[in-house]
Amino acid sequence: MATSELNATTLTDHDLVVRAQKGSEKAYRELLGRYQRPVFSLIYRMVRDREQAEDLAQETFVRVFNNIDRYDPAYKFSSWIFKIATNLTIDWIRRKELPTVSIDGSRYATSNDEIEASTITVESGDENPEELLVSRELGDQIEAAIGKLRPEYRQAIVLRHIDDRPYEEIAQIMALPLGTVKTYIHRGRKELQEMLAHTRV
Amino acid sequence: MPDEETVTNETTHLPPWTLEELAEDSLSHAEKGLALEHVRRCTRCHAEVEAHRALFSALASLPSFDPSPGFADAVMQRVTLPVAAPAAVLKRRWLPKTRRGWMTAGVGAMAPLLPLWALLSWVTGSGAAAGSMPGRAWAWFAGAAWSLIVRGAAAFVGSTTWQWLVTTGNDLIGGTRGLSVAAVLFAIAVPVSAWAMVRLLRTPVGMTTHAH
Repeated sequence: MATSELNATTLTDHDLVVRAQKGSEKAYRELLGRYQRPVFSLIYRMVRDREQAEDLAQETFVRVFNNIDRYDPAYKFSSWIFKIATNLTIDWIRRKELPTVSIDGSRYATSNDEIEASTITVESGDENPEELLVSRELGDQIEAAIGKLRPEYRQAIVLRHIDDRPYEEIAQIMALPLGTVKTYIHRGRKELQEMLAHTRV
Repeated sequence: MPDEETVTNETTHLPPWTLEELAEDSLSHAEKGLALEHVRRCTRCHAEVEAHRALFSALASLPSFDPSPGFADAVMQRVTLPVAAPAAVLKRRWLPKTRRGWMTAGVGAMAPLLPLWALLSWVTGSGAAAGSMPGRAWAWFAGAAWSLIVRGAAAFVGSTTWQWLVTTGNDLIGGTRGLSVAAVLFAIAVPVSAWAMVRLLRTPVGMTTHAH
């Protein structure tokens, strides 16, 4: 066990789940390492609030891990975890009925420190300051446009174009017919193009 | 942009969805060939495909976000690590997980008992009061079930399938053991086939549909 535990990074998701079911903390941590970024990014793009996104992402992993013995290997682990993440997020959005988008920090922040702490910094290491500024402005505009989409379109667009999930998996995650998912993505793209018509995109 | 000389006044254009699929390279090989041929000649469709490509590229270049550094520890503090033995995990995996699953399992477990009950009732003459409506219904059911079992078994024993099983068993093993081996094999094959069919039906449809 000890030897194979060392090679956790080379194991498939399914192997890690089997090990997690047997109580291996390292398997849990490897699954966390693989999915914390995509799950957090998806949730953050949906709720546009770092603190809330962290809470929802944490709840997603806790639910998945505490019910790991109920995982059905007939489905991809990624589909399962994204499905739980999106269900939690959509429920939260419906409860809160998010009215606006804020890329510049939490709407609930009441001081400069809180605004700073809840602001997402989007940076890439291989650009000069001028390119970085242009790229950041463009990125912010795209993020803002995504944030203006209906939650269902936003979810489908993020899963398809940012997480690069196939249509069939998105249909599984969103528990919708494939045709409906394609319609959401088509409409989401159209709305994004209209909103970004004035930019380089 | 396409060559000025190749641009024609197209009056019909490709459907929007086809243009999007062309831009994300998810059309089949044949469809892609036809679409590219049209796009080469049609400036409007060409421009739309380029616009889609630019959007997809911009979306794909958006960065991922990291949660705070203490995220993993915060999650693990709330996770209850299973201490169950592998056998217990295996046992839980086989148990039905929903009420519907338990009902199906219950009916499945009861199904073999029903004809046995019918046989016993028929042999002993017991059951509900003979003159009552439920009694008559039960008597009819018991008789029909028993008749079905006896006739079914007789038909199967008289069939060429049974003869083939016996002969093959005898050839393979020799002596009268062939008969019992054939019966055992048949008894194993039926539930195994049923299990395989259930697994097949529960497997989701393939994840790939786009042929290239």
